[in-house]
Amino acid sequence: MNPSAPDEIVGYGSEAGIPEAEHVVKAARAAFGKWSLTPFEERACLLERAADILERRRFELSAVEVFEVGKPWNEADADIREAIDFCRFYAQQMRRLGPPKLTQQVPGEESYHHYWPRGVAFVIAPWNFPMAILCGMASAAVVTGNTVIMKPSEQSIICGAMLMQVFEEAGVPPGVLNFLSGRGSVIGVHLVDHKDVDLIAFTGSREVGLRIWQSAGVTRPGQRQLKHVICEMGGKNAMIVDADADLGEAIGYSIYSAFGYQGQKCSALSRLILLEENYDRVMERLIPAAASLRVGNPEEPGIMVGPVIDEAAYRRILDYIEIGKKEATLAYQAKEVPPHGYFIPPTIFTDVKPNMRIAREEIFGPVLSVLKVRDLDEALEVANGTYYALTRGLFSHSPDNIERVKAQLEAGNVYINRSCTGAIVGRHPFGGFKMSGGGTKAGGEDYLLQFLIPRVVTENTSRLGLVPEETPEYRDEFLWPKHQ
Amino acid sequence: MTALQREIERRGRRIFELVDKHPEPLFSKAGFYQRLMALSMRDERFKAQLFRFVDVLPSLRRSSEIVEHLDEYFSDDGFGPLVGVGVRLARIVPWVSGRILRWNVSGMARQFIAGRNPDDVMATLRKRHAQKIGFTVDLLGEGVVSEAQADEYAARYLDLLEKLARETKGWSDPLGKNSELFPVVNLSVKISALYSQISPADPADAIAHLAPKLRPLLRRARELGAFINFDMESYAHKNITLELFKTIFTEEEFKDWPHAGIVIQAYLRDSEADLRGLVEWGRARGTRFALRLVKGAYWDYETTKSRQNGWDCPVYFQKPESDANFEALTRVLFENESIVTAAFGSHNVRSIAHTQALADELGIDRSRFEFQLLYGMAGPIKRALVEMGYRVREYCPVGELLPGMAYLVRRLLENTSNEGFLRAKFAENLSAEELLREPRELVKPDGASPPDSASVVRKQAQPRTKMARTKCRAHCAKCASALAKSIHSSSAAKKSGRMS
Ligand SMILES: Cc1cc2nc3c(=O)[nH]c(=O)nc-3n(C[C@H](O)[C@H](O)[C@H](O)COP(=O)(O)OP(=O)(O)OC[C@H]3O[C@@H](n4cnc5c(N)ncnc54)[C@H](O)[C@@H]3O)c2cc1C
Repeated sequence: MNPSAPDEIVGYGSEAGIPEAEHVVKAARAAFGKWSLTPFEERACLLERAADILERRRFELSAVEVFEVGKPWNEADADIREAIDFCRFYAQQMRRLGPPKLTQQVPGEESYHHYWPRGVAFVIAPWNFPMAILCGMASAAVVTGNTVIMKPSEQSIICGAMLMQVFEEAGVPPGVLNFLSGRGSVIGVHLVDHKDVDLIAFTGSREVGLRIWQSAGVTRPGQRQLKHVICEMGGKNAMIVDADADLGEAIGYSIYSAFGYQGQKCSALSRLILLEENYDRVMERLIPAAASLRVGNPEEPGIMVGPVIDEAAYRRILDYIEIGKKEATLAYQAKEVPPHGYFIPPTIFTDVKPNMRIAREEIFGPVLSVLKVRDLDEALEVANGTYYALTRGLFSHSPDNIERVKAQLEAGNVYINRSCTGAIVGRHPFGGFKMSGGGTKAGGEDYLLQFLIPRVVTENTSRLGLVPEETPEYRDEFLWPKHQ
Repeated sequence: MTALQREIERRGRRIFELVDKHPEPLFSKAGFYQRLMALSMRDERFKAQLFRFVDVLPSLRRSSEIVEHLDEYFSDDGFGPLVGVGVRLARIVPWVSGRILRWNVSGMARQFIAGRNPDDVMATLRKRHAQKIGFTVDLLGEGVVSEAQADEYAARYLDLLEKLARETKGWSDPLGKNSELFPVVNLSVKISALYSQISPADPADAIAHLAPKLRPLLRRARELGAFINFDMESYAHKNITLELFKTIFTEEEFKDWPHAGIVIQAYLRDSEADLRGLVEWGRARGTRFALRLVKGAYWDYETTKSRQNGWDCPVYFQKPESDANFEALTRVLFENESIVTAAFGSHNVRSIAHTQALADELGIDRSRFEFQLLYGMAGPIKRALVEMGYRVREYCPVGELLPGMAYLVRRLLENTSNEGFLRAKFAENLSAEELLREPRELVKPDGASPPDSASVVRKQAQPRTKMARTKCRAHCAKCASALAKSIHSSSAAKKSGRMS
């Protein structure tokens, strides 16, 4: 369904039930043995082929996003680009981690540290980056030798299916990557609890994330190992505007961070923290800037604010706006938005206090709260004062203040003098801590380790005191039967 | 040596002679400014810190804040070994206090800004008129982030236009010949100041919003006999500006109006194709238009931006390539003199001498084109050109300090650039022979790749689709509309299916 025009059908997806879920777990289990023994080089090449196909189909795939999830053009383009980057980056990282590495050079003994895959991975992705996040989690799981059940969000099944197509074309062996669309409350719950699922990679809301974390901790009859959970959850992100900030820049970036893709990014700005000193000057320009945004159907190329994803989101965000009206002051709300479709007018609240709901809870929509503070001390306190820690930042031209904020902001991604959205794979490894996630950093050098179990193999190589000269730093993978 | 080169050298030497007759330092404001510039040319790190400091200064309100920033920018240990710049700075401004510093930097800005407001600027324009130098006025604006700001800006332009027309009544053409091509009142406008939501992905939208804002201004300019120029900004806005220009001036109302101009930047690889496109458009339109040829003011910005994004860089990498292209485009302009009135925006004596020599070779009268130079720069060259009987127009920015900072920093960069002509001539005293060399001979065959190639970045991450490129946009549009069609038709089919 097209969120810009809910009576338009973009495509049909099927809804799997428990039997289908059981079927794919079996398939993934069955494929694991062989896939885990496939040389990492082959697995890395698979990802690179997928990246090439994504690149070839880049425009076509981004067009689908415009219709299925209401992404503006440039945002859709960015999502496909990120998916491509994930594939190439993880391929490269796997080559780094693949070869067993000598732990220490000791005469008469060799000890190699290397990694095994964990088993069957269950990937649960959100709709807001329908290709990139799904692809990032799934490709990481695949390249590390796990077999995967990939569940796209109910709101972005077509994008998910197209990603599956891409991997099939790239030659992923049967059973290694399994597409399963359906309800989180049915198959999601079932698979999280499943004894044959070894790893869960989840990106989504805090509420669901915490539930997964909890149920994954319960050992089921027949379960082989501890379940490993990778959780990337929400944020309540903040930017501080220092007294000496370049206001044109600060406002431009803030508006984009808050309202780009309707605020439906985990990294989106939702709290703008202004120093008393420049409060009036910022507000004087912030509101007209918000009023100038182009809200409309993202089919039109230059639109920045489109519809929110579906009716439930629409209602939830409108409820938050009502709460905001009671708690704080409605400083701005766009007047004209298209009448059909799930369009929410960009909204700004002022007189917001840190303890208010709109300042604490993730809204995931085009709603920005402005908080006024005395000085930088208070700004930091307010910025850090939520249970999330995903993205935060500062606009300033004072080298000292910049240094201080770099050291003290609690966030997985700290941004200075730029937008707080738009992380690039490899360049800005992305993810938070506190209630925003487990510090797993998608697109970072440590990410693949989440999908692996380290193992050490030690051999006494001394015979009657005779020892080989020197042990090489790296050796071939441990594979049996040996691959040709 | 070709006859043209001989003539260029002759002209160039003549200009230098005239310049040397009225010795005046490049940076006419002595003292503070001159010392800072000299330091900047010697020490790249100092220069970077200085320009950043200049950039932040206007947004500081208290003197204590200014001194704090000064300290933060210049007391960095890193400067210790580099002759202790902090100390040097204190020596230049022993009485370091916020107010004095701000006053000095304002002075620096005033060197390049012709007035704070339209009243202010008139005094300057009158003085120049007496020196036979014309003007084009540009209104400095802050980064426009909202439509309220953009509308206000458009209104200020209209006011300025009225004012200039009123105050210059009765001014005569300095050459008294072909004056119908060169109205006295000349305004330079920047489209980014008139619409806050320009998206390179959507030129049609930008044009739809810009045209209605420009029409009243153009209409009034026409009534008042004034001239309007569309300045050229960064590459992301280039195609939109060209499209807008062609669209508006093909409209019935403006189709036969000759007093509209646009800019071509010779540092762009696209520039020749764009210029030829404009000429072709002009011929089809059947009315003269004007074109200012420049090298381009955003070189650092374009190279950094494309490197950051892993894009092919739209500008040349070697300075002499830009110079040579400037000369090639000069020829294209003169060859099409019957449809386009040319203006040459340069302070480079070689580029200027080439223009003069080529005009003579092609038999174009010196009253039919003009040289344009920036306010506050290269005064002696302007004077020399007037003496030689050429048309000279000065580009005069008007505005407050804050919005003027970006402009000031661009000028400072230009004046201290390693590659710049002004630095070579006035700070490094290169010989006339050196300065007048044929640029094509200076292009290094192996210098074609960027200093730090975008391909490194491209290997790390997939570049964004460059929506400013027509081809990319067209590709996106095709996919979107194909999908839209299939969705609309299948939804319609479904609906009718349900009904039956
Ligand atoms: C009246 C007037 C109007 C102007 N209007 C505009 C405008 O609308 N838009 C605009 O962009 N600029 C405009 N400019 C600015 C103009 O582009 C710069 O002033 C000009 O580039 C300086 O060139 P020059 O010939 O005076 O100096 P030179 O020193 O000969 O040339 C410097 C120029 O060479 C180019 N360059 C420097 N390094 C390199 C390199 N490594 N490789 C390739 N090229 C290099 C750059 O363009 C640089 O600015 C205008 C200038 C004037 C005088």
